[in-house]
Amino acid sequence: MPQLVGYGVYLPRYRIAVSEIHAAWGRSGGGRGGRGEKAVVPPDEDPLTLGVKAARAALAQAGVEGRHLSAVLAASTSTGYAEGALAAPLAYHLGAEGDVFVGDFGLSSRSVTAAMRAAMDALASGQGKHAFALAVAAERLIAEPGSSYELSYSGGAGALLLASQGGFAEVVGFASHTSGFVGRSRREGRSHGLVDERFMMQQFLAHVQGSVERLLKAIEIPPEEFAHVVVQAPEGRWAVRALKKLGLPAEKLVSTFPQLGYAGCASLLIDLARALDQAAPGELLLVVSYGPGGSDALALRVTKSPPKADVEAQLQRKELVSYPVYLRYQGLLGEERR
Amino acid sequence: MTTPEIWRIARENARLVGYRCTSCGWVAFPERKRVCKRCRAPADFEEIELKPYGRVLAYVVQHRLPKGFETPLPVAVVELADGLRVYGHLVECAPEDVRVGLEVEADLRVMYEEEGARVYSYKFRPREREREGS
Ligand SMILES: [Zn+2]
Repeated sequence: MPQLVGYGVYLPRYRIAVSEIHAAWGRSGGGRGGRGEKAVVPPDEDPLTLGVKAARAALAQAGVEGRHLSAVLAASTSTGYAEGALAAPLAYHLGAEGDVFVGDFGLSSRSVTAAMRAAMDALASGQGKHAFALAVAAERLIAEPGSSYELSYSGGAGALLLASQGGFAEVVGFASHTSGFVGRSRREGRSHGLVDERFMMQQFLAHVQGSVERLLKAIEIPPEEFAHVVVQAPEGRWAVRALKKLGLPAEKLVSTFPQLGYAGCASLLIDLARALDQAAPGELLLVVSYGPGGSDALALRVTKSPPKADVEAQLQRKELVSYPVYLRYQGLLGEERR
Repeated sequence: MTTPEIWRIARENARLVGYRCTSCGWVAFPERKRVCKRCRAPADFEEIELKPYGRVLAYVVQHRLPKGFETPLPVAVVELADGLRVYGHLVECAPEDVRVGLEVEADLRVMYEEEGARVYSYKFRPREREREGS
């Protein structure tokens, strides 16, 4: 089974308090209750710059050089390109070129686990002369001002380095639950339409339960044996509901939602990094993705004490910005909107 | 789209690759040279991976710039650890916090957009230990 040999994150320095967004719109602060913060990506960063930095952190942690990568798989829903690769230039920035398999994944936040799966499959295929595969997820999500998405949409990046051997954790199972349900969607360059959030959450729960049940049945491990759980959810409370539905205590959930908000594909790898920072040898981790089209679930077993990415320190390194500065950073002020 | 001008130095730019004169140590960046500026003679150059940090040697704060730039914008001459001097924007740093000697690190950023594609290069930001000290 493929093993984890390194992981890294890159979190933007800038944050905005959710209460600041509510105040800008003259609201008392329902929904997220006016609590928490979200990450703000400055205008000169995009999924490539964010992804390169997370990937470099993962490589440095493992002591692996970019030229030793045989596969680079990237996931993002916010590159802004209709055509224009992310994985290949990302690999190139890391020093990986030539005999390197690359793949771009997007259109659904769930695609982060597709990128991870492709990294594992690349290793299993035995192609390429090097033994390392990298999965990267990076986002710079932009929400319509005044919308409910504005309270959570953020950005950042995470990266996971895999190899066939020599890691600190192994992938012990992977399962999918796919349906025709799309959920959140939007046209290119447009904002999300209005949706029935309650219905959306019910579908989320059903899909997450579908992939997790299939996984647990396949690996014959009961849910209570998992020490840490990561659930990719566009709303923090959805993840809490998912654990309840799976019969697990909320304390097992590892999430950066209160500090960073929702960073699409990247959220899963950032939360996984935070979980690995806390994990001890022998512990099991449950990692669940969700996005348009369904959910994937992975089980990881920690075999050795993992190296640290110190996500906590990056969460602390921050600078709060005002709502006008936030709008400017999102490219939502002035004529140069992007 | 990647234009020929951008592609020519893409590798040096993306990975901070420089060329060091084997006789005196002067570093050429981003273009490989045949003649060393310090030896003032033809020289052999070896490829090196530049250390991505250095110190501010001099700076100005720009207030009047064309559309597309954030102002006030601190711009600095940075001496990298390998001895070469480069020119770059400072980010994540208020103009009043810039000073000569400030320790900075190279940070990959979008520089501008051209023909529908983003062009990337390095800017500089204060190293983390500088922030802890302040
Ligand atoms: Zn010389």
